Amino acid sequence: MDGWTFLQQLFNGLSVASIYMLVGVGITLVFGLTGIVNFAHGEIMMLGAYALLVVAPDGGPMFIVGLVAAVTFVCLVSYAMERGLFRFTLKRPINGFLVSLGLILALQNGLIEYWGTDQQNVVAPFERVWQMGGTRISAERLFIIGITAVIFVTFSLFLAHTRVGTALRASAMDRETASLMAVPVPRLITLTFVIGGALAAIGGVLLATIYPISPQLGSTYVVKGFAIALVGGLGNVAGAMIAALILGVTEALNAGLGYGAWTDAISFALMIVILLVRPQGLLRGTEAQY
Amino acid sequence: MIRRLVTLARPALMAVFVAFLVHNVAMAADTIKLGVLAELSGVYQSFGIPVYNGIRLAVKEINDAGGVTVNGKQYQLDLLTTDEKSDLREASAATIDLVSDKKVKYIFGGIANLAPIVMQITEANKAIYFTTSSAAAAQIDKTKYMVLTVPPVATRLELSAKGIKQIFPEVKKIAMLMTQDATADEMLEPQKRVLTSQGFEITTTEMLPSQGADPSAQLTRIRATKPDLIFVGSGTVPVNNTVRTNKEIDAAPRYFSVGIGCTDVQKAGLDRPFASNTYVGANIENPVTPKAKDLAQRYKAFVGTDKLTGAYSAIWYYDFVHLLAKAFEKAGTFDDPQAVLAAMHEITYEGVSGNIHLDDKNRAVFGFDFCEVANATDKGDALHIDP
Repeated sequence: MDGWTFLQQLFNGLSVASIYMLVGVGITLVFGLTGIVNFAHGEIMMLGAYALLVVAPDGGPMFIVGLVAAVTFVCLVSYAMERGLFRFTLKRPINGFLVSLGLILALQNGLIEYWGTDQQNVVAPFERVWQMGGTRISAERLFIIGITAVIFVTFSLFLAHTRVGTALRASAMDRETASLMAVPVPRLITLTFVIGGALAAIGGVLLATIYPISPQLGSTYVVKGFAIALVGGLGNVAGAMIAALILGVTEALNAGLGYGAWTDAISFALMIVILLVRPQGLLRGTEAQY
Repeated sequence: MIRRLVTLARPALMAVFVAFLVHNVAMAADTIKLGVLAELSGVYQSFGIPVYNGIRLAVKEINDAGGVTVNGKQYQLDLLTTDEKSDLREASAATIDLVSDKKVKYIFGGIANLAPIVMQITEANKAIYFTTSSAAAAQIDKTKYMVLTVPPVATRLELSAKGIKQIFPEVKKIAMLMTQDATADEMLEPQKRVLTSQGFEITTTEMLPSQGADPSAQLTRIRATKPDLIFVGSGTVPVNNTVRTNKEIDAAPRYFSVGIGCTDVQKAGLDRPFASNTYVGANIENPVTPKAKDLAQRYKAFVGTDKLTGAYSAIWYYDFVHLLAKAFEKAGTFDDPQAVLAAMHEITYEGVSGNIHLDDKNRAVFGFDFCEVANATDKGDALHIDP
């Protein structure tokens, strides 16, 4: 692999890692606070993508409207899911896992019923490509990397320096003690689901700008999202971010070296090795700070 | 009074009941059962639903024309259908039900990786099984009763190479981009040999780990070899992902694929020429021959739609239902699958997909339709190429 190909792969890998990050952090947030493994997170992501398809299928300036509409819609859906379903499973998180399996079928088949199983295409908001030596930098992927960086810097500051962020971290560490300290834990749980949904919606919108979308696409990303949440340390946002970067870049470099057929095998083998060496994840899970 | 009326009516009621029974038994005796394993739901439904509609249309046309005449007696075709939900277990259970329980001797359907399990059951029960599956095709030498409704691999590959030469005469160098699956395992090396023998240079072969995988890395490697065309392995998902991603990477100026409708790829924002062959017969979505155009109109009327998008798989078994009907008549029986199969070998059927005959391994031989478009909005061209 020459230098330009390496740079190309690194750039492509960072854009895919950004989407993995948005999915993985949403999963780890919900687990960290509730202990619920929400496998329907991939389908929530696809709801965001399809919302963009409805509002802004032709790209351009309407993309911003589509992004806001998708995030708003998915936040409302996440709120309804938490209030209507998941809050009844907090005492037995395994029930929440089972509920999420049912939601996968309901959401996927709902999308299939309306749009069918064929792929749908959203026109990207930016179609410029810059040539830098032997590397082609697309405006779409640069936008994905940039907006994800902004989101997570903002989110990290929110967690570290705001009352709500501090309350979230305290609740994740010890829900019972936090509630005894007058932290409104049930409201924070709802907020966590909504934030997770918002991140998934943004992930879905960004995914739709680089690939055609289909109702089944979310299943691929949720499996990787869970791997990322596990390897990062369940409940640890920073850990999930690092794990997403490792996965995305490893996949790209694997394929760049000519091992395209082995990409998934090598990436997941790496995840297994990390968990064998550090079973608690790269950074410790919910018993530690975010 | 009432008792008297009942006593008088009893013989008449008995007569009506007996006539009803006799009629139904006679109806059952005047039908030939065909079984269909249909993917009406699940991941394969986008292929399965048009396939099922194509079979139903063929059966309806045969029945409306008076059915099948065997030894001077007319029979209607009776279609027994199961939705196996694109699921292995369901397909297995449905096949056992049709073949063992309902004694159906002629089975259509069961796509892709479902077909080998169906084949095992139909072979054991000496039922003729019509399939397009590459996974089943790999085992054709072990079967006596399986009919492959797509041409042999060698014929398909030669037709693809012929198509590229005719549609893109300027192409000299080809890069292969395949998805790891049974089709690639079977077809990749033979396809490369055929392309090389036709004068093309294969610059590189890259593999995608799965249908939905990101192709950017593979396209980056392909770009370094400067090909004139990317031969993308079958599957709408990898083709669309490639088309979309190649707008950024710019690995090659044109594409070729197999078994994909051109309109499907245009929706992904195609910005450079693309051509494909139907892989399994006439192109119903963009029909070129008079027979294909006529079938397209009849299909639309039958299904009740004015759109043909995604309907290309409707042709997969359409001609073979008609071929089977002709074989019943020629063989003079429908109870003896061996005799029916022998009769099929003696027929060259003039179908919508052109002239169809079976080779010595029960594989259908016929030409393909090709489609070609320049970009997302081009109406495009279509042509038929015979082996």
